[in-house]
Amino acid sequence: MLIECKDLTHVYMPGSPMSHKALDEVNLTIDKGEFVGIIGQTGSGKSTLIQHFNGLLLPTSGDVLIQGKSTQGDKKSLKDIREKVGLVFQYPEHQLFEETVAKDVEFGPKNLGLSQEEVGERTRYALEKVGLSYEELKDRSPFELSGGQMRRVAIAGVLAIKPEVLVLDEPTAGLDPRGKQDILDKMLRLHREQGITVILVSHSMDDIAKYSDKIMVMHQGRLKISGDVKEVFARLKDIEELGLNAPKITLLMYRLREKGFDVPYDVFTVEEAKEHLLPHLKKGKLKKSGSDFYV
Amino acid sequence: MFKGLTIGQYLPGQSILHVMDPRMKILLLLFTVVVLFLLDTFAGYIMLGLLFFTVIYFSNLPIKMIIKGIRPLFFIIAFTFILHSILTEGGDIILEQSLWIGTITVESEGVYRGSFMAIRLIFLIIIASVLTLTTSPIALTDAIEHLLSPFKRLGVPAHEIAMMMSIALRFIPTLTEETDKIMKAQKARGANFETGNIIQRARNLIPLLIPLFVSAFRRADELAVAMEARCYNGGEGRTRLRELKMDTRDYLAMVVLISFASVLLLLGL
Repeated sequence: MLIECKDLTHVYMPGSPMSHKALDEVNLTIDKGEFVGIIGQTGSGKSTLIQHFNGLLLPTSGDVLIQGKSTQGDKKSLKDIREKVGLVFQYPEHQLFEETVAKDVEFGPKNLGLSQEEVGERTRYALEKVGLSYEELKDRSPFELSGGQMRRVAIAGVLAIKPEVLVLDEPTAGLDPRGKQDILDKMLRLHREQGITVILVSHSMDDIAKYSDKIMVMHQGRLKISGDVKEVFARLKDIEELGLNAPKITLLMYRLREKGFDVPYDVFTVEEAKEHLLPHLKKGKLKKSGSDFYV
Repeated sequence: MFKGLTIGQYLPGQSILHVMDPRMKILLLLFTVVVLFLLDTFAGYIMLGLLFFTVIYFSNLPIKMIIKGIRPLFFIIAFTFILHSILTEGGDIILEQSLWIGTITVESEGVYRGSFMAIRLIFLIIIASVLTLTTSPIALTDAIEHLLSPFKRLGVPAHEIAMMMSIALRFIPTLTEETDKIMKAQKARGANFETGNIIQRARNLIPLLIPLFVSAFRRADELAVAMEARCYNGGEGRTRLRELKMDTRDYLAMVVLISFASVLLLLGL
């Protein structure tokens, strides 16, 4: 078990009139090699939750274990945990500060005290993993890049630490659709090729459904629903009650099924839906019990 | 260090102090400060303390909070008291102590002066807290703009000063939040803000300060464009949604305070 939260409760500013319970007895486990999607409305506790995964926030009560080690241990173990769990914040390009792209990406590995050679090697690795050319960008200032490129450099800055777990908080916010898909595809490849455990926080059900194996739904500081994609979307009514929605394509399949068409409803990506719908269209009509619909 | 400081905080409310004209509040505050330094008997301070207590009572502010607000400045108050006690001469000798720097004597006059200064500081903190606790930052800057406008002839840019103040106040929480976020992001990359000697620590702040400056400039730029898009061009001919208007209660407060102070001073307190 890679990450384990036991009765995790977090209260902001305890004891003051502004005291606010952001997490309420959250219990969850994340295993090595999973691609986990965390979804919930604004203020549901997603960001607070993930900041517990590398000890940036510590529980008010309960415990968070990373490979069995508590985040509430000494400084040394906290350093180890931050090396294992890389966290990419929302709008990570706001944290860029160095004169050149290479120097900025080097910041993380340098803090680990690695040799110059290793640092350089990791910088090249990280930039290439996010789809940027090391040779082309290494001496450029990060502040003269485009928004999408800055985002990638910032993600590379975390990847260069070579974490076992990569936590991404809304990594595609404010990007155009193509940039969005491209970054998520790169993360999926990292997950598949390097076996990195990825935790993706997003508002977008479509993205979560497309990329994750497992989904966790947060609501008002509690973990309401958790399970693999099919299990979670089988509870469409519960999800809707929490103010969220299934992916648009799944909703379409639900609607078609309600009308009596013979299509499965556990479909979460457009590609998958295409496979199911195309045969119907080829016949020129959709089969419905009793009568025929012509398309 | 200054946690719990009440000066600068605002507690929304509907009390008479909340609805008073902010200009009158500032003027009366200045007047009270002058009175505070003219009084020099304990009886006078007790009377003034009673007045403050009444005012706080009418303002519906939690008195506990105001007293707690003195605590962060306790060191400065104690320092003033001790310095006055040691340095002022006259009266009976209370304490004499030989130290490596020479003999230190504490005389009764010094203790008097010291306690007066301490009381004055405490009262200053209390009235300044009451002002900001009952006046929204916007009302405060509006009032400052009005009060400074007679000096416009002398080239004082009253409107610009007030606008800068309100923008600065507006962005304090935003920048605090931003600092917290960048700090966390750099910590996640292994940055260390807690250990090392002074030079190391200063150097470790670079990954925090540069992004903070970049974002402050970006925000300033965006704000400037947004203001210009809404045709902002300085204070000339600008009208207000809420015009400040002196009311009977404002003049009444002024009369009450001035007569109270005159009585105190005439009695030689």
